[in-house]
Amino acid sequence: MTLLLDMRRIEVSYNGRPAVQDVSLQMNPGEILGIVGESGSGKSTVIKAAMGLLGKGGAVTKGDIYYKGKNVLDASAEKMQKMRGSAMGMIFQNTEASLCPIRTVEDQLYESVIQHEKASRREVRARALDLFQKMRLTDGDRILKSYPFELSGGMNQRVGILMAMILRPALLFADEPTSALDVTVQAQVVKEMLKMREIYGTGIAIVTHNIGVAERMADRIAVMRQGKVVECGKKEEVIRHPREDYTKRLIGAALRLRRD
Amino acid sequence: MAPRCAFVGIKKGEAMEKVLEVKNLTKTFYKNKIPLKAADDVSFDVRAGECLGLVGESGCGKSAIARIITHLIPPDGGSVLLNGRETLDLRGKEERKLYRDIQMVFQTPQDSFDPRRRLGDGIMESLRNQGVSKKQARARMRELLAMAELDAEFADRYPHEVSGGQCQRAAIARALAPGPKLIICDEATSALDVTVQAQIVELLEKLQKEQGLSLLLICHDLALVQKMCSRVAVMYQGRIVEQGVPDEVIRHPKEAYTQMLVDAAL
Repeated sequence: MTLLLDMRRIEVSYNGRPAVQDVSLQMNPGEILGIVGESGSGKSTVIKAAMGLLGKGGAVTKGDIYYKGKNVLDASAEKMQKMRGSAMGMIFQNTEASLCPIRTVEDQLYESVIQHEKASRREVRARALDLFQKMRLTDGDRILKSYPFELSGGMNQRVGILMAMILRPALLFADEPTSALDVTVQAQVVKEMLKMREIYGTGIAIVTHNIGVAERMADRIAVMRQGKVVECGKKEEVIRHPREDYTKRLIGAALRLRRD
Repeated sequence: MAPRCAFVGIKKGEAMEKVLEVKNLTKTFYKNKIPLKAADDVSFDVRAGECLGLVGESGCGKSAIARIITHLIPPDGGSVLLNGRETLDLRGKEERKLYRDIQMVFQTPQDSFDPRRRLGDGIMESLRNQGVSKKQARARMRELLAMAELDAEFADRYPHEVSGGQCQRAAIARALAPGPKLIICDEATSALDVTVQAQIVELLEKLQKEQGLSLLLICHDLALVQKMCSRVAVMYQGRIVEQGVPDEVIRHPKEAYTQMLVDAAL
């Protein structure tokens, strides 16, 4: 089986200074990988590297990144643009900030879809409503007509999931998708992302500092610290029997609700 | 009018002195003429040396309560008593004294400091305003930094030069400076990394024990409340729907909203 994502010993530098070193991560199709760590550990940088979104001054300086066996780093700018969205989708921490404030959700959704495929407004609308229904949101119509600022943080995150999933990417990167949300809304968004995997078999790489979220969602967990992966393995093993001291500290510091 | 919920779980012989007493507080905001009740007959109290947790989702009114207590916004009705004295009608000198008695620690420490002034200046400001001499204020500021477990050199740093956790420690030192009776922590740890959060929680617990601080902890994390608080009040849409000992409330939530909060915890 070809790996969905295969990062081989990559190094990412910003302005010549390495921010991520010797990171290797693999994902099988349909797998959920949780990447956890503190601020500045390089966890977002890793997924930005795969998406080709490092921006000015940032570059992958060592190693290779393969998406379904093809080297992403060799892809041309146009090819990358084609892949972003349709092959690899992304959800950000604050979807509202990533949207245009003066255009409706529907307009922006339509625009993003026609970048990748031929579709009429009506088709896009039908697909969006269908997806909303799968997320068990009943007022999809109202959401589509809204401007981003008219929606709550939780609703905007759902729009983010919708925008990423409407093109049915095989791989979804989620960068702290629930960190800005209330606990109750967070639980719903986590549920909805799991539902997307259930329906479409999407592989998800979720970057989070919340070990609880990673534990709920992921099949495997990679722990990052200071630009390196310190531990990576099956969720149960990493959480129940962490090998590294840092992982133990990270897990020990997370507060858990005692229900008994 | 009697408070909506009776307090439970207070052991006999425990200190009963109430530092803060909030009674029947109401506040309505209007957005496009649509009323939004931020506080709907809210009553609770914080006793000497205890930590009371106020939990609820964004927009439920918990921060509005903090702003009313600290006189940042006026309520529509009700009363706020500090050590048994009504505070809402205090003005001038008396009101300024109240600002010393109740201090706050905010969610984003970096934003709560003046970006163009050093942390030490921010910590000393309240002392200087009270008329403490520069020399004495400096000495006190160093003590406060030590209490917050920061090296003296942090006094000369600017907010953007330190990490979030270090800045929050400085904010705690600043809150301690005027010798407050009550500190309100409004989501003081939610923007921090888990390991840093654990350190700040440890610091607050230590200060509470050593200084006999009374804390009002506003947050949406039930696990944090369970760790730090002796009692918890759950707020939903401007009302306190449930109050009690955290373990009790978490194990046997009486209200549907509390149940939802418990279920949502990961």
